[in-house]
This record gives sequence, C-alpha cells and structure tokens, in this order.
Amino acid sequence: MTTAPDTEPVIEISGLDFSYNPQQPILSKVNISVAQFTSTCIVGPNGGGKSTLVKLILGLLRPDRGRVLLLGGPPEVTRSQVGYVPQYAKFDPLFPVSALDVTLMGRLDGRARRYCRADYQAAHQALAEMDMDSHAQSSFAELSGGQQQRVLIARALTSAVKLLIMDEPTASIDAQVEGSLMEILRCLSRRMAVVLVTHDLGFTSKFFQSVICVHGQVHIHPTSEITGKMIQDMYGSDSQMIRHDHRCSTEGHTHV
Amino acid sequence: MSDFLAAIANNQMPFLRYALIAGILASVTFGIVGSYVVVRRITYIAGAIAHCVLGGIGIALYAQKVWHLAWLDPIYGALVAAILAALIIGLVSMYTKQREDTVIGAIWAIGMAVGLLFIAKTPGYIDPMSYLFGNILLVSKSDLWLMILLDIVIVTAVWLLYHNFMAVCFDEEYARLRGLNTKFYYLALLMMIALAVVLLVRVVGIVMVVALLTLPAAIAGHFVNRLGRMMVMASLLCMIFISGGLAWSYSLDLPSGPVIIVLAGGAYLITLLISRLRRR
Repeated sequence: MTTAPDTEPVIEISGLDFSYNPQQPILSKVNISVAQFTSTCIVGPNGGGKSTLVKLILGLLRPDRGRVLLLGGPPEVTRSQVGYVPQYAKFDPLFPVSALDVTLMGRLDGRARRYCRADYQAAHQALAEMDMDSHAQSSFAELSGGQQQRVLIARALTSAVKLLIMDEPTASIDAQVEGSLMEILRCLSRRMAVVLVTHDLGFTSKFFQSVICVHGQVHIHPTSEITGKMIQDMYGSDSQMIRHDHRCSTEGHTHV
Repeated sequence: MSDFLAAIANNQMPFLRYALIAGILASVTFGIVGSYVVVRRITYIAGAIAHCVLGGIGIALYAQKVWHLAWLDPIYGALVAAILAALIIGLVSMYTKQREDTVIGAIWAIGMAVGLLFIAKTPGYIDPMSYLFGNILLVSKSDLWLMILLDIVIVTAVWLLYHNFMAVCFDEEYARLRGLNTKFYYLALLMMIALAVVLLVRVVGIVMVVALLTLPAAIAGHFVNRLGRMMVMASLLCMIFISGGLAWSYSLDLPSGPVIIVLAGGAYLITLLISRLRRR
C-alpha cells in the first residue's frame, strides 16, 4: 500500500475534466489540493457536480483527462484507507442489519473470510468513540437519523487513517443533531483531514478552513473570501449570505 | 394427516416421499437465497430467471426425442437455461443503457416462448402444465442427489461470503470502496437464484417458484431484524409450507404446487395484517 509522507496532500487533483456524455461536461479544468489535518467543505448547487467530484476522488469514476491522487497514490489502491460516509437517507429502512453489522463492513477487505476478533474490537471501539456502543445490537433501521449517521461515521473510522469524506451529512437532520455533528467533526479533524460535501451553504461555518465551490468549474476559496457575489454566481439567485472569518488558503479565485 | 404419513411410508408411492425430501432439502437453499432476493429487492429478476427455465426444459425434451440424447434430462436443460438467463440479466442490468425492466421483461417472455415452441415440436404428447405449475410425479431419486449437492455448494459459499454478500446488498458503493468485486457478487447472487429455482421447479412449477423463494423471507422479515436469522426462519417456514402443502394436497386430492403457494401466500397476508394491527 502506498502511504503519503506527512507533508503530502491527502487529495491532489490536477487538470481534471469529466463528463458523462461529451455534449455535457460536468467538471472541467479542476485543480484541487487538500492538505493533511485540514477541514474542507465542498459546496455547490444540486446537480453542480459535487457527488461526481467525490466519486472521482474515490476512484468510482475515471476522469476524461487529468489526474487524481488520493493519499499520494491512485484512488483504486488507496481508497481502502479512506473513511467514507454516504448519505444515511439512501438506505433501505427495512434492511435487517444491526448497528454492529454496519460498522463491521468498514473492516471488509475483499477477501473471502469471516470477521475475526480484531474486527469486532475495532468496530466496538469505533462505535464507542461515536457514543453508540450501547446501540451495537440495535437494528440499524430503528435508529434515529442522527444515530444512523454516527454509526456510518463509526464504520468509516474503522478504516480511516488520514482522511474522512462525508457526503451531504446535513441533509434532513435537525439543528441539534447538526450541532453534535460539528462537535464530532471538530474532534476528528485533530487527527485526520475532513472533507464534507454539502449543498447547504449555512453549514459552511467558520469550522472549515477552505471551501471548494463546485458548479462546472471548481474553485478553492479561503473561507474568509466568500462573498455574496460568488454565491449568486454559483447558485444563480439571491441566497442567504454567510461570512466566514478564518485561515486563508493561498489559492486565488475567479468566477467565469 | 395420518393418511399422508401412511402414504409417505408406503413403498408403492415413492414419489410422495421424494417430493417431501426434495422440498425439505430445497428449503435450506430457498431460505438463504430468498432472503437475499427480498433484501436486495430483485424479485422480478428472480421471476425472469424462473420463466427462462422453460426454454431449457423445452430444448432438453426436444433433444431427448429428436436427437436421441436420452441422458439429457429436462433438469439439465433447466439448469443451463437458468444460469444463462442469470448471466444475461446480470450483464444487462450492469451495462445496458436501455431500460433494465423492459429488457428483463423481454428475456422473461422469450425464454418461455422458446420453451413452448420446442415442446410443440417434440413428438408425442407433453403437457407443459406439469412444468408451469409443478408435478411431484416428476421428482426422481437422482434429483435428490442433485439437490444435496446444490445445498452443500450454496451453504458453503454463503457461510464463507456471508458478510461480503450482506455488504454488497446493503450498500454496493461502499462495498466497492472496501475492495469487493461487487459485479462478481451480484452475478454470484443471480447464479444462486438460478440454482434455487431449478431445485423446486418440479414441485411447485415455473410460475409459482418465485413466490416460494420470496414469501418465507418476506414473512421472516416481519419478525426478525438480522439477515442470518431471516435466513434460518425463512428456511423453516419454507419447510413448513412445502410439507404442509403436500399433506394437504394429498388429503384433498389437489395439485400440490398451488396448495403450497396458497399456504405461503395466505401466511404472508396474515403476517401483513398482524404487523399492520400491531403498529396501530
């Protein structure tokens, strides 16, 4: 397995173009670099290419042009060391699994084998870290949205070493759960890079050090530079404006 | 009931005993594979595979008579057709840009049509009803050995790959990120459906076999919330429906396939009703 030395970025994308069909380019000329131990928010309107970008980062899609490096190597090889948290709402509410079953999936490695004791220990540890170990035997479907999300984070943590990627964690959760999610992310960002995808600009709080705007083009902003003009460019209409004051990245920015 | 037990013990009527043993052996596979079909929501794919089996049966019957391939038992034709159908449907649903359900519907119908055409052209009278709706007189002793073999293969594969299959059914994208070859698992699942369908085609018939695959698992889903327990309970229910249905059909002198299915379907509807009332 390739592991990046500590100074190398966890995600590095250069000159990436992608389209599902040639007439409709989804992403063009994307250059992104996400450093170790940083927190990054990927924002953009629905259909703007955020999920596509995440799939490209994870190697689930191949770019038409350009290169993606994940933890210093090709995503197909290194993605098993990345923690990925999908949207919890996409799961079949009738699927018969326990929270522990779901968490253990993070320990799968493609081999034909049963779980061993180390797998169970890792799963319980991750659940305990998310304060969910008392629910290990609960049915996943019967947990609340916030609890399901924490189980999915626990699953990601059983394999995440340097990078955690979350897809739309703020979709359909209430303000209180959102608050505790922020607390969890704050904790995790001390030991790994956190990348969060959201269409919800309100979530782009000062916690994030940089914001990646995705709408065909991709731009990295230091959080402090987000302006109402940029949001309008991206979302096309008046949006509620938020101001961020935090560390700046060195990347410049122009909107076309 | 006692006359059914006497008939089971009666050496003059081995077919009833064979049907019962076949049903119990097949129930193991049905509970396991049916649970995957239900949680992965691919009942219509299982239906298409089952109906394609008639194509293989028709060709085998024709080959037996016309090409004098006496060894070519219809069950081998069924096996080949089911596996081919599973492969084609699997590849279509993975790669096609067409509407998947339309393609599957077409395969479903073509399989049946081919079977009926070959049966029509086969000399001598063959009643397609036996294959469509089941006929326990068709169960032979050699079928039982085939069933034992398939049971062993499926139970071993699922024991070894239980967690992998579960991950692929629950969250295919994540399973792929964990390094699982999700296409392989999907095709393997369709293969298992194909094998299961062939096991019981003679007892309940092509048209109804899918109900027996999915109803026990669907009932179990109302009572348990773990995949493993669902499989065990579905297997037991399947055994109960088949043996109960056989006994009932023998006592009332009715065709066994429909009685088994009415029993399973009735139990499913009652379960739905109970769980509805409980939720209030």
